[in-house]
Amino acid sequence: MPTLVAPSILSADFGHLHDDIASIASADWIHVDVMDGRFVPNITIGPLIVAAALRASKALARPLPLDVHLMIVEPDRYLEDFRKAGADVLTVHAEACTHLDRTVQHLHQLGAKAGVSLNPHTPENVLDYVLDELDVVLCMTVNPGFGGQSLIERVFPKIEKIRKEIERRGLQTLVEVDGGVKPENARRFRDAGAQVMVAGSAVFGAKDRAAAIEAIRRA
Amino acid sequence: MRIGFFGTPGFALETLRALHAAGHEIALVVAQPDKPAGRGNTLSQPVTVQFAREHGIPTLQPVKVRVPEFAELLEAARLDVGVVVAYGRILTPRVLQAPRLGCINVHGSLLPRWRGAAPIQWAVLSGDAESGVCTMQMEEGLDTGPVLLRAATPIGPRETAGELFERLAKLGATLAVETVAALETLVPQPQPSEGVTWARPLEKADGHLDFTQTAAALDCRIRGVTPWPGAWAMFRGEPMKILEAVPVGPSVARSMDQRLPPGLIGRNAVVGTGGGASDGSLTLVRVQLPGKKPVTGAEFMNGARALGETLT
Repeated sequence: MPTLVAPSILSADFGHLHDDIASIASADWIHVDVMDGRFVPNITIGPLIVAAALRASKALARPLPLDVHLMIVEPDRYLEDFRKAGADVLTVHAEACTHLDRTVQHLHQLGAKAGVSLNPHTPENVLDYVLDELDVVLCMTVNPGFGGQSLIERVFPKIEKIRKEIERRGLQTLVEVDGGVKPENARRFRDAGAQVMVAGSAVFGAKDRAAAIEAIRRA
Repeated sequence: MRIGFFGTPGFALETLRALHAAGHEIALVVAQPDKPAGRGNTLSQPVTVQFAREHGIPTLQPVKVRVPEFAELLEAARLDVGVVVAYGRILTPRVLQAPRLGCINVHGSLLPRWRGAAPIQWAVLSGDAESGVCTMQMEEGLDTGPVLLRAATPIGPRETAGELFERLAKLGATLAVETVAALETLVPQPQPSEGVTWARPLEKADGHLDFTQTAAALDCRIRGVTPWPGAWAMFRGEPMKILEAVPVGPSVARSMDQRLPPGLIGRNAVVGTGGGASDGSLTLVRVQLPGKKPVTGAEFMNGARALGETLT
């Protein structure tokens, strides 16, 4: 399948969110990084901004799905809020969930696509008994918390293992990577088995954002 | 004002209660006759009649309304106005003219759209962006009278007909009180002749889902027929109730849920819909097999081993 590009609005200008989202209309998903100052050091955005992003997306000729990445503790408390705000894909961190299976069922009950994210140090086998229920596995390729970091090389073998396991089980689950993705290295992620590329500064920092999206997609 | 109230179900009760609370004299409550209820030989009384009894208001539950005795009774009651809300019978011109200011009706749609018996259900089922209530001066034709007041309300993206019913019942009650208060000065506006649609009563068959339709259309149908007659589809030769489902938008389905033909159950209780991946799919949230308890989509997938089966 073709590579999907999901620009992260963490690198957008929140004062001009509508314009910035219009500038990435050629992307496939809109990635939204939600941080709570507890699971990660940084605090970013809540459901209100997700709702604003939804309005901006709906104004596009071809609306884009909202891919909301919850880097927060006790995500269950907020799943409904983010779903109501317009999240199509909701991704929680395995490290933040004591009852991950229950959380994933909750996501399906809300009609959201269910994603689980792993920090760079988290072994992929925490997904062994939940993988069949997942729509997305999001591999962090930097330590989550801030935009603009460079990637941690050690995660490539993990991406490959997850991809192989998904194929072995005959699932349709997408593998998404987040952190340090840019046109120059997108090919390596693709070869390792990622189909969804989150890119923040590599897209929003580019002079020609559409060209940056296309470069990552075609890598 | 001295009011004769005509109404039977819960939708009518809100208006009756509001008129009573506003200090009007409810001279009479007219409702359908008691109906058999449950499995025994018990009869159930309309909620409006129960309210009337609790408040010492005389009630009438005529079997025949097209007889002169009924009109004579109403004429003798010396009413200022008749308020009709979901009574369930067609009144004769003589009855409509019995009160000094005639009869007004509270109708659950933005007229002239959805004249008829099931306006709220058809608004949801058809994907209307908004619904509302109108009060009208009643005339002989069904829901054709000139409109006195109207109030619109947006239909929520996940709202069922049942939920909209409850909201409109309250909105209708408020509007009825306002209408009665201003009745002698309000100028009835004839309904436009364009935009007339007809809301026929729903039947069991209206709840049968056709998965070759788009996900958006199926979503509207499920919400429009909930709670009655309820959405259903055939699963292994039996009708399965679909109590709740969420459409997966085309933009998401473009990159997921690919190659799910209409009706095919994929992983995580996702069902394919018409138009293939380009048009989205439907996630089953709550379903019920005949004789079983309602279960979540995940419980259905595990319990019935439904992966790869087809709903028709």
